[in-house]
Amino acid sequence: MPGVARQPFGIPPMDKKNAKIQTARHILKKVLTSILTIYVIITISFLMVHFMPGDVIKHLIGTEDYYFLLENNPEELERVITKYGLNDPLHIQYLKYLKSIATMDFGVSYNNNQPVIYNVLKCCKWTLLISVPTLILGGVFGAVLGIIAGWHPGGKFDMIMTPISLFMNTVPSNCIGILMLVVFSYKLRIFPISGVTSGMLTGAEYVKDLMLHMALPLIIMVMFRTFSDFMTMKSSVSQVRREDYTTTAAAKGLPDRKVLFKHVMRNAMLPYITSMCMQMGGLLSGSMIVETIFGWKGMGQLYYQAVTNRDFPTAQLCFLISAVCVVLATLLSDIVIALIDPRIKEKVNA
Amino acid sequence: MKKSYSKILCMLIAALLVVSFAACGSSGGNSGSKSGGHVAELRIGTTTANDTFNILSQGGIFGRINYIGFVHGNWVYIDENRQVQPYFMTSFNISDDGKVLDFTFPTTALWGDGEPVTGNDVMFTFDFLKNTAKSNYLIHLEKWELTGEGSARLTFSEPDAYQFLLRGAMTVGCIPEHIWKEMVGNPDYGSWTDERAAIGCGPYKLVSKDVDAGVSVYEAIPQNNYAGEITVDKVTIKTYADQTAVLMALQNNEIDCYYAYSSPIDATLIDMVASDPNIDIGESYYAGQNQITFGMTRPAFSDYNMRNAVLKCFDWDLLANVQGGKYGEVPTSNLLAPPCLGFVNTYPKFKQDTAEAEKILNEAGYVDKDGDGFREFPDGSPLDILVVPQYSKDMNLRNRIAEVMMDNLKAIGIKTHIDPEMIANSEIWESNILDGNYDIAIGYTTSGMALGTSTAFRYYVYEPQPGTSRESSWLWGTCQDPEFNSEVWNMIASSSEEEFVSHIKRLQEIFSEQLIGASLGWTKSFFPYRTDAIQGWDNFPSWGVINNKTWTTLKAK
Repeated sequence: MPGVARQPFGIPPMDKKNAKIQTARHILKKVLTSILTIYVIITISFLMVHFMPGDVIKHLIGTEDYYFLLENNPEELERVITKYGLNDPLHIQYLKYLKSIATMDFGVSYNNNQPVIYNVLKCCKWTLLISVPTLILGGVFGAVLGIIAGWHPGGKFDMIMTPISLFMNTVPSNCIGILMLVVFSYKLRIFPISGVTSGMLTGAEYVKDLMLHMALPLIIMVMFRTFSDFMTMKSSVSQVRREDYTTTAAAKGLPDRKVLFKHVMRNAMLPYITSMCMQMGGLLSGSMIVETIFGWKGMGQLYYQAVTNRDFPTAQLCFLISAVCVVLATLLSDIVIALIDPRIKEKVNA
Repeated sequence: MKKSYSKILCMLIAALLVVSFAACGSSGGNSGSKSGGHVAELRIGTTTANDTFNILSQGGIFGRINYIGFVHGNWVYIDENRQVQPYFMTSFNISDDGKVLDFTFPTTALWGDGEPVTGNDVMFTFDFLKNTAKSNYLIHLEKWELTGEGSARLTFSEPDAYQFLLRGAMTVGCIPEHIWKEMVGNPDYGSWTDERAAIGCGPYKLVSKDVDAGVSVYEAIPQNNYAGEITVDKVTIKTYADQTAVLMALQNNEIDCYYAYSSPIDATLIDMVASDPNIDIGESYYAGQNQITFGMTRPAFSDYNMRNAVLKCFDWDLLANVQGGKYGEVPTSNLLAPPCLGFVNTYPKFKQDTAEAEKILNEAGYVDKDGDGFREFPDGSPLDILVVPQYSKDMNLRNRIAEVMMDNLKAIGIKTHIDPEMIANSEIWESNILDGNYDIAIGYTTSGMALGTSTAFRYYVYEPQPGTSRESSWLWGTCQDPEFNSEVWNMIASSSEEEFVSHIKRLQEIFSEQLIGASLGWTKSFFPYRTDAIQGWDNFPSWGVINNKTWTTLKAK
């Protein structure tokens, strides 16, 4: 008897229609909470930029030029200040900020004078190119290896994989990143040193070149994701394996494979799916360290450069995207769990 | 179950192999040219973004390499000896009163799109720079006119002609009327992203770019040979993640040299390539420097004896090492670094002499009167020196310098402290600096400022430029000596090189006599380049091998 499909606590099934309404209400409540959270994040991001140390106008045009204009051409300085709305009262700036978010007009980057949204979308593309395969490959490898180790805790496979996994979860990604860069790119010259492509290529050449460039950062990120997911899945499987219904299934004489796939995995997947949903929140944030080491022009590197160069509009949008993604991922995880976990269903409908 | 394990393991190994095999076949390349002939391709590595292509923007590597008249045909250039040399202006003459600049320009030059450069373009340029770009260098420009075919005259209301050449040389040049007339009156000209915004009349034209890859490719325009025959046919610029990646690429022969404005390779990294026989590390004196400014409006450092004693107590060798590693050098007392125009090399180098420092303080009455182990003012009031490192991105180094100084001061019985708010908040730091609330300020002069007309002396003046107020000026200094102040402003407004040099020489004398502050060390700049395929490199001090002469001096090896 599969653990999920039946009602494990013996509570009589509720009226289906009523149950659906209750679940929908639960989801709606989560959606509203998420919207409120996003609004609070937007407000915090506005206040954060306006109260952080430093004079925005001096960062915009440079301190030397600021004083030069102040001394020689104050009209021009005033024009720049007006252009960026820095003279407006705080509440007007806040309303303008909300409007800019609604219209997706995030202004111009201080770094390269390009629209912020253009820079961010471009970087999103490169981040997704790495983060989606990382999520999928890391998720699959981590799950498979975790199930194997968790099914036979203390076995040979577990004894080898668990220390490796603990090591990989402890070592910072920049150490492994630099080590692999030095070995495979600098010494062995197998992979390119930096960047997303060599440039000026098209068709199959471009794809091959792109794969070469993404190989090292992708391998590192998949490795870290795999070992992190491995620990989650292993602990989940070994826990479910000790449950009464698993023992009962085995005692009934069901073959190992059936017990594993029909009883253990279906229950062990619940925390894993939650974890995977939460990981989706980081899809657009990128990995700042890995991207910076390999010159991968993703969101992590953009955020890093925006902060170091005090490019406030870009930093603000990067922060917003990261925060909104985390909120949405949490919401997704809540919804998925509400739909698939009978225990949550029970709680909602009770 | 064992079968499943094997299958999974095989799949994992296969996946890794596929990635590894796909990865085989690394990039690389050679410039491949005939010996002694033109360089077919020069590959430049940088850390500056390769994403902005507008001749009127200083953003990105395109903007920065145009400082040396690359795609943008700058009027003149500054050579390795800090002399103004002809470039697009094939000759120039400044009137005795410094207000009129007569110049000639080539009639055979071409824009990157093949159109000829005309006198109308030259006139349009000054109109655009004056009225749309509101160029700082042309504030006093009154009249611009053609005086013949290939000649023109600028008339200023103030003696600004020399300053226009010196300060504007790197960033302004002729712009094409047929393209930029669309942007007349538009203050956002610098962020114009139209493809045509990259068209200039420099010796090169942009032929292709890949912003994602951080690569841009340029081809020579042989007609625009302002500094001689162009010997580099093609230039490729590639952006790397950081300086370490650039050095790896240089050693792996992916690039021929490194260029980044005012950002030489760090001394702590250069040894990575120093032992490679095919690489020259491109060492030269760096013009920028860390320096200290004494708060001369406060009681302690208004006293010459205190300034003298403090400068004698510092461990100068350690300070030089902190900043430049094994390449760091103890500086002389005249503030400037060797590459600066007018630098005089006869001043003594600083030397630590704590016994002498203590003797000076004792004789001046700075002794420990309350027995707490620290000296007091001669009148017995407490002496506690406020040390203020400049707030900036690179403040870790200046914090370390402060640490060394504070240790040295403690060793001769001087109590010191740092205000934590000043090193945590740029506004608090700046307002205190502008108000002169410091005893020892540790600041930094960029290479660009040191080599320009302001020089490091600009940071020491207290009096504003005549006719302006202190509030609207950017004055960090506290030296109220009238001669020093007027010399600085006169130097900045010099109308000829002779005048500039005469002022800067006098400033070095005053500075060394009065000990208004001090350079904290001379460091070296490193712009490494490969020597196996290309010859004729000319390493400009503090600038590197990519300079205005590069396009005409390089030859294939």
